[in-house]
Amino acid sequence: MYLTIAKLALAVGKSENYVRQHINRKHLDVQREGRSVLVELNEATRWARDRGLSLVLPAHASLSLEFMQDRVARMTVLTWQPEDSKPINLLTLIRHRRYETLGPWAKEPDQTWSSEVVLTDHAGESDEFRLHILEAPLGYCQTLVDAILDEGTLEIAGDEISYALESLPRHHWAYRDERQDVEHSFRSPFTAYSARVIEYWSFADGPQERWLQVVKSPDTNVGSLESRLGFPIAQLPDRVGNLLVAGAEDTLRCNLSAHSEGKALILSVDSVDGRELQPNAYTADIWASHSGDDVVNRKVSVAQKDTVIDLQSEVDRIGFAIHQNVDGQCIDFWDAYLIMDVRIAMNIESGATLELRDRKSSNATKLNLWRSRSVIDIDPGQNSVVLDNQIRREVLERRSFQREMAARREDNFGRFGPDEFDEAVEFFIGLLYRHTYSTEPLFITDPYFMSVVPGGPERQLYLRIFEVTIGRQLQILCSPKRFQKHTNPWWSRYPTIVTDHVTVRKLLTPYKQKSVLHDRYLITGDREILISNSFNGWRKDGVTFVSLPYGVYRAEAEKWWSLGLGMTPGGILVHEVK
Amino acid sequence: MDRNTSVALSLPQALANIIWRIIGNDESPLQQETTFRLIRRTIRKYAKHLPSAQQDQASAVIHAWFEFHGEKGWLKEDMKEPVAHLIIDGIKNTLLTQTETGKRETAFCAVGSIEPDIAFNIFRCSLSNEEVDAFVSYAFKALESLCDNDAVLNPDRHLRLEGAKSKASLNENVIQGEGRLQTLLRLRNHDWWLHSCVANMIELLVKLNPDYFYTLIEKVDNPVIHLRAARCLIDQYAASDCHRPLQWLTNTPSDALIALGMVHILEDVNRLDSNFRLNTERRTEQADLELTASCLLSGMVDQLDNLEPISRARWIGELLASGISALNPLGRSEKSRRVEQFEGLCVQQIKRLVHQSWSEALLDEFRVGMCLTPLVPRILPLAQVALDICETAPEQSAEIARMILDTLVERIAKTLDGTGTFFYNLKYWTYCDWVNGLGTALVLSDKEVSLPEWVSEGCRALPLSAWDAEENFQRFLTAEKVARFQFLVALTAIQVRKDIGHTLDPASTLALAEDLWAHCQFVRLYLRPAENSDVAEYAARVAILFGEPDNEWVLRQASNGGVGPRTLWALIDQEISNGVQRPRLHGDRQLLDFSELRRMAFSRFGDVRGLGLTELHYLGKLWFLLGAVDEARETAMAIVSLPQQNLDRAHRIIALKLLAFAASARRIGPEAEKEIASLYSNLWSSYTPAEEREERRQIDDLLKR
Repeated sequence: MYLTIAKLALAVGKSENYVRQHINRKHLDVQREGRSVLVELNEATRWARDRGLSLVLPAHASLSLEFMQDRVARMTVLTWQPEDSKPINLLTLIRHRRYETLGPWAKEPDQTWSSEVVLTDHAGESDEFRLHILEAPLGYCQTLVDAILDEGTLEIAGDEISYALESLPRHHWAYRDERQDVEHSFRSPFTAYSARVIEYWSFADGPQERWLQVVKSPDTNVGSLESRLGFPIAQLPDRVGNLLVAGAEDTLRCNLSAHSEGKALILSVDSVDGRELQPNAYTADIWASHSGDDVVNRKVSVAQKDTVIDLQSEVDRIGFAIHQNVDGQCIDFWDAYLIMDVRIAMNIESGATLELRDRKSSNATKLNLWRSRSVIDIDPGQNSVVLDNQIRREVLERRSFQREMAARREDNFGRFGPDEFDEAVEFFIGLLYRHTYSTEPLFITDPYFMSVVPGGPERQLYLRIFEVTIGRQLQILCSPKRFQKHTNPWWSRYPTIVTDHVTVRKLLTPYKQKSVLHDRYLITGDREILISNSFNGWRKDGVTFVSLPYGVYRAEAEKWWSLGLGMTPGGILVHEVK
Repeated sequence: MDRNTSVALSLPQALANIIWRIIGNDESPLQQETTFRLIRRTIRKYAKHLPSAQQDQASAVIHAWFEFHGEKGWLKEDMKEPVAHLIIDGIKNTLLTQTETGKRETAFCAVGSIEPDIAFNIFRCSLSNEEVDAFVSYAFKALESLCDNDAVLNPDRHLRLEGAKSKASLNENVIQGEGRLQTLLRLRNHDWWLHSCVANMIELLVKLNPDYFYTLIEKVDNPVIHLRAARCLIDQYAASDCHRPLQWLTNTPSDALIALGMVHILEDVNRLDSNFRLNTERRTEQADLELTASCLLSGMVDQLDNLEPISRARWIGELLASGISALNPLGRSEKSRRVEQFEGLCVQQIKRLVHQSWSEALLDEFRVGMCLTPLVPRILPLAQVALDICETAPEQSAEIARMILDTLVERIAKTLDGTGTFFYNLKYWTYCDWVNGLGTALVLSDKEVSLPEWVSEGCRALPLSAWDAEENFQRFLTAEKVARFQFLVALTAIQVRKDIGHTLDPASTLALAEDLWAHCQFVRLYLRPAENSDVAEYAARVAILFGEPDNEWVLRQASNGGVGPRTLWALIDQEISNGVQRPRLHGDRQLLDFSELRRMAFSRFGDVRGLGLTELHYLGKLWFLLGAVDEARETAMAIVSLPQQNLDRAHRIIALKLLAFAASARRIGPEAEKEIASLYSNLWSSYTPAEEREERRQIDDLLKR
């Protein structure tokens, strides 16, 4: 992105003469296009920072004319038109690239909008979603952007689409990263290039709320819309209302591939305009790994078309980053998992329907058998497939171990078998100890809490729970299926100093004889821990503790506790035991 | 005492007379009750005058005739004939003597449950001619009624996917969409879809009187029934009487009968050809078989002369669409003599039609015929007609040609909107014929057509830009396939132009090839390398053959990014072949500078680590042509280092040839020598296939040096 002298002066709050002086003194590098003098944004930022000037960019900084002449753009506008209202921008994306990257058969851009209704009849609402597409030279699209920023509207076929954009844009990069498990804001909208993005944000709530409503609806399938829009708007509702200008970084065309059955990595770099690559203009970082172990991590100078790196070992993930040496900026980044083997199972045509009947009852189940199942295994035919598989198995085991250990470190996770009752007790007591100094009430919920008898092995556990919670409110919820006459609990025989803070509330459905509660959990000051088994089952079946981040059980426990005593309107009898 | 009597004796006459109702209802496609309940209900309804103890006893007796699978009962084997007598006697005593209505279907199903041979004998012995006629009349009405109720096909057999349905019918739209002949060909082995009582009854009717076959065709519009009836009729005649179906094309204007005749003639021709192939030792018999098959086929096509021109055109369309596949049942990759004969006959028939009855309607019928095949349109015969008449009737020729080209446009449109498919494989003659037909049509449609422009216009109409690749990759992939196909058609058109003596334009030939390679270079950004495709190689050969390129042009292609190893090899290979075949034409031209070519090829493909198996294969061939010893060795070693399961015999042979070539020039080291021994023994330790003998000879010669 480039700034004229006037805009730069405005951005730093100085006069144009001030800027010109610095240019004459060579403090500021510029590019000249005919009579125009342009300053590249990065250079302007550096210059302003060196001089302690605050750089406030103008509402929109125009791209250079020469830059725009070579480029063609596709502008996609997704609009939402509430009933009896003007259409509102949901997302506007302008993707631009060099003409020559379009391919030999690309048509001349016709500068004509095509529009169609998408996501029709949605959720019974009578509003309308439309997708408008325009192919035009970048210069033309830039004029449209300028008009949008100036007037807050864009006119398409007589419809005035309204925008609510912040005037100051954000500049960032969208790289190519094909790994599925990596969180990004968004990836480059170009398959073969990374992109520079200028983004104008919108903070209007209405469009975003409506869009979330649409996306959450089970009837919505936005896959095709997203590919035509060129943007994953379903996953990025924060971008709703925004205007983005994404320019393909297509000076170079870079590709990394593993060849000759994984024995070599080849980085191919071509200049799109067919010019020779300048030596020392670019540097590439190339990496490859296998099961998380780094195999290659190399920095190479990009001076020739192909850079071949021999591999000594198998790899399952490869990637590269291309940096321009002049300023170190990464202009292309790509990372991907290699497909090591693929299993495609095809169920072809279903076969006869079998009616299966339970021998003892008359219940019948219909089962439709697949007529034939065809499985195709594709593997790269590596000689070390067996070794590779073994390593993977080991890695998976290690990952399972590592994750469990990581969870255990914070006591977020604890798993104990039937023969580890004492360890389970210690873990649970530890959870209670962690909050000794907290004054908030503790909740324990276990439907069968009252089923523990004083003669059983759990007696000591209960007493220890009571002991470590002295000084705080211990509120226990249980849910016996049958109503029993009021009796004092067995722990009432113990000194009140141990049991005075313990309150048990039994939730009953006297007429249905059903348990009100189902899950077991512990709620402490800052955590909620799901307990997989009731106290009376730990010794027999073991128990697992998992800390959950959702707050669902805390809300539930507080709701039950707030019911008050006696019969509730919902038919639940709440009975308290002290 | 025969079995019939013993069974009859155990039942009072009143009960014996209702057995046909029980069996008929049990067999009826429309009945839902269990066999046991049917027996009880029928006895209670029709023998209510009998004491209930007798009813119960009779019920138990009849129940014992069946063996049960679940709730469905099947007559025991030894009870079939006695019960058949009871059924027919019962129908005779009740249905045919009284004017009872509404029970036609029951009687139909009851008799249909009897094996046709048994039923035929009982009919002949027990029923008078009048009674048979009366029953046949009932049977036809019942069959029509069952057809109207979609109850002749067994849904368990026809609609396996939807076993719960109680009815099954053939979709009329499908029949109309694919043509009547194709429907019959597709269904010809599916008469087991019929309910067995329907199938048996059809056989019985045809046995009773072969003329009932024609009545069936006339009264019932169901292709499965037609096929069953025709099969039954054919089975009644000696296998040698294979000319009978020809009569069906002569005697009646019924479309169904014509289609049935065609199906059986095509089957007979196939059978005769199969016998011809098997009877290799008996020359005289072979000659007879050949003559019979040939006469049958020409008889079939000639019989169409009896039809109205529009009808003839329609049947020719159907025959071209479906008959060719029927004559190529094994899907051979090379065109058989029989198919060639058949196409020749069709060409003659079409020419007669065009000559005698040219009209727009005729053209429309041809168009419909061409669109009947979902995979490969059979357009070559029509294109051949257009070619044959281009001098005598140029306007008609051009119209036919344009219509052929229109079908391509239509197919492309359907492919892109997802309602059609686009596939071709040049290893099969059917696809080659398609391309040749289109190439011919392209030339004939407009003598002035610029082939590069035609392709360019076609490609620009396709979603082939970078935007399209990013928006809908699958569609881009399809468009790319279509684009290459259009190049193929245009390249074929150059050959056609030459064959028919048109003036060639070498510059446009070269431009076409360069356009293709530019296309390949672009799409390789998104797809696997397209420059190693059949079309790219063909373009190279056509460029050398008809483009009259100079050496500079050839050298320039060596550095063209869209020209891969296969294309470069084809360019040089064709150049060498040209030099050998037509030395005089190249007499004034300097030989190609192989050392320069080698240098340029090395600069692009010297490092073989980035190349796939196909590229290595053709690169090896290239080095061999260029005499590049070190490169040949390195390429061969790269091929053999790939996993063995990926290598076919052609890959092994080229690797061996390259190593032998390198070994003939210098020492190649123990590792490569070991590979030579290993490859050689692996390929030819016991037997050398005929098509590999020349390669082996060359390799032996190299190894001897």
